Amino acid sequence: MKIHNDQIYKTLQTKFGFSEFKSGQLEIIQRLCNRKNVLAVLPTGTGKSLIYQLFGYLINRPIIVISPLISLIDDQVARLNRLGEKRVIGLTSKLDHNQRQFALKHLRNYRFIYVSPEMADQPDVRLELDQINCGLFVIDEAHCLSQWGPDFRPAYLKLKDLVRHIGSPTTLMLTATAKPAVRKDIIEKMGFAVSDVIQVVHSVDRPNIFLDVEHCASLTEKNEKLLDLISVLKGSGIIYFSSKKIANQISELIAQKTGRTTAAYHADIDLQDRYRIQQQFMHGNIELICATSAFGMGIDKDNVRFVIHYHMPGNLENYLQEIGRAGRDQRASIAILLYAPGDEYIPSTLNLMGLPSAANIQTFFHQPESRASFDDDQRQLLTYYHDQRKTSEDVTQIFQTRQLAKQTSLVSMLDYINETDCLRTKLLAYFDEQFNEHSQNCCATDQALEKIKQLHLDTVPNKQDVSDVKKQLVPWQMRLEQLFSSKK
Amino acid sequence: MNKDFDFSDFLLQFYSRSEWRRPKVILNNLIGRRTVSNLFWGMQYGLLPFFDLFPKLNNENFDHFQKKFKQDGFIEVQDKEVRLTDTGKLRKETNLSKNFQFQFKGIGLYTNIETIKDCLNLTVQIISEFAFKNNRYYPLQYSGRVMNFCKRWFRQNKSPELPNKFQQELSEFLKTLDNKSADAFVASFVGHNSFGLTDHQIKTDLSLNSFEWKIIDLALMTEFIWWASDDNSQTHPLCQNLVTPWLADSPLSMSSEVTYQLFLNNFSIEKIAQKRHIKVNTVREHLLEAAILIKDFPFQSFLSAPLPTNLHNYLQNNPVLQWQFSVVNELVPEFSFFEFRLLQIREDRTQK
Repeated sequence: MKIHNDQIYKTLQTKFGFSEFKSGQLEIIQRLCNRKNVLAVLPTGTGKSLIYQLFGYLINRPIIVISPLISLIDDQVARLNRLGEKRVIGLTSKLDHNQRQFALKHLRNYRFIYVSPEMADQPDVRLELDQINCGLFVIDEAHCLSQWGPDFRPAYLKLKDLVRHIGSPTTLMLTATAKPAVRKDIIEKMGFAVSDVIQVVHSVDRPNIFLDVEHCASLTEKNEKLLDLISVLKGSGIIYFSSKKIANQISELIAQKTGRTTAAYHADIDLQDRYRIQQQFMHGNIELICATSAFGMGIDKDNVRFVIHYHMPGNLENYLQEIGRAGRDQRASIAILLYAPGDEYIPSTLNLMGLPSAANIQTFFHQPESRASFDDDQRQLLTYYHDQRKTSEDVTQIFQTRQLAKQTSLVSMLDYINETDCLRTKLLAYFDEQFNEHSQNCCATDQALEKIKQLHLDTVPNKQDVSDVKKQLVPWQMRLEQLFSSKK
Repeated sequence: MNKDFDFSDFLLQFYSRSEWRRPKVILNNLIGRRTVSNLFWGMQYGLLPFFDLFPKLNNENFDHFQKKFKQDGFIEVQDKEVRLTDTGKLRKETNLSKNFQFQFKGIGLYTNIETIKDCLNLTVQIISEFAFKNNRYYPLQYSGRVMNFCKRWFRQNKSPELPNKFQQELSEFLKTLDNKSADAFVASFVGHNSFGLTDHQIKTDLSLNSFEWKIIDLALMTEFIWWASDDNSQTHPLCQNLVTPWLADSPLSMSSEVTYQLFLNNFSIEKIAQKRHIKVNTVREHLLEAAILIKDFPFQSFLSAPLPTNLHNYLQNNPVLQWQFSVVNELVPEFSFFEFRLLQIREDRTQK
């Protein structure tokens, strides 16, 4: 397909309102125009979605986007709606029977079709996807393809067949983090030869984010440290937790002790409130979010000044993803990880809980009547391997290997926490990148308070995005005027 | 005992000091599980007004409250039934007046409140953005049904006057509330550059706990639904069109309603079964549902003959919930379970 750069830039301006591309975007679009398969590793916040969205307007044929979570799909659909795009559909379990039938019948009329790998594997969906003359096949969060990555999803492995089934359209595999071994694995799992795929890999480093680890002797000390940091740090920030309950408690504690506006955000918060919290956060009405990893997907806020981890994540991939929400405006920001002895217990337990035990695998394979009693995730996983004609011994072996891989990732996370030298060197080495430019603006351990001052993160940022919306009830007559009367 | 009113206090009202009751019935009614047995016992326990108000309540949560009641000495347990202790009774009575503030009138038998709430929220957002001539925004994400419904509703009602008309209609409703309730009702709306308050922010501002706000929120939404659907004067067609498509005309399930209409048209139970290709017993179940939920159910159609004296005496001398079908069956073998249940329902109606 011959497409000139002029046309690409024009589409960027008219559809997205930008005049410049972010690093990597144009190069990938040009490759796609030349019908090359691309594996792109671009850090969080570098505009991965724009690549295939813009390409969709250039090629004018339906784009299939494989995405792992309903919430991610909803978010992408809403974002495209916001850009004024109506021809977008999320094929998810949220559709009722009639809507699903309607959507499938009219699939070729959509410009962007978002679908989970499990849904894409259903026979009626496969059938329709084959009919639409797909212009580009996109695999978002492509690291889910790799058994060596922390987020492996077996349903991703069937995408290889799906791509062939629908006529091998140009394929774009996107991820924020993937080590060379994982990249190789992704390409193999999609059934491509390494030479068939162009790899566009950008450094995962975010130089404007200062890295710090604070070692606390106890939980009490951790709480005190957190409150000290919050009292000094100005601007917007996200604090990550592994537990919903503790996110709630600390959110209350911060509000009481520091008077700052906070909100807890996790799976128990209903959808409308999540929307309100996101929007209030984006507009500066809420300064701090106490979140579990559920938060962040819908967030496109440029001026998050700090990300604090109250609980450590289970691997450096997730850590990098979460701290990546800071400093998208390229200004100085800080990522602080609070560690107290024993903190590794939570991710370690989560790792062990995630996969079925050898005894359960035996039961599943040898007593079909037991299968109904397995929880959905485990049943899906085991059914997949069962259908692949694996034996229970094979599967036990696979899971043991995966568990080992998860524990190894956790050990790398702990190595980072215990690093006494340059944290950035350690972090980047995990992703097979070299770094030897340590400076005083790079990283430190147990010096967060001083470094916050050094980076001027203790001064009030410009308040331009803080609107004057109060967090109190207003008289209903006034509220209706705000909502419906544009002549104020 | 000047504690906040919370979900456990709300639950306690459905227990009794004098009767052993089944907690499962309470859970099933609150999550809207519609079986004749649940509805029948729900009627006895005073649960029907609250039917389906808490569809997200699950076994685990509910059991947690049961355990807590037992720990606090509020209930005693025997087999699968429970009864209030004296302490429990005292606790229930302390908060009784608070429970009566809320008038749900069995709205959950007619509709799902959450669905209408979602519709109202999304419609407010769409109209607000339209008022500011903005078509580039993040729409609230609800189920596909709700999103499609709202889109269609908007297409049908779109006009330059829509924001103004809709504002007027909402004002009419809000005037029927006290000011504080009206302020709370509109506080969570999302619109153009105006993102609404979260439940947490509203309850903090009103100095309420989470459950107090939850139940007030449900009660306000219920008020809105009844107001919007009752439009004899044609003063608020927009709100009416938003609400009534989600509201059933009858509290009966669709299938029971069909059976009941046939019955009102003088079809016999057997004829109905034949015509609808369903079992005779299913027809009876449908009619029992109607007897429980329809105010002027014609009991005399089934219970017209005078009761034999021995049966009459037995029923007279025992409270309705202690009537045993096994005893009745011994006294009058031809008396069916269907007739027995109808009699219980009629008696309960007369007493109330």
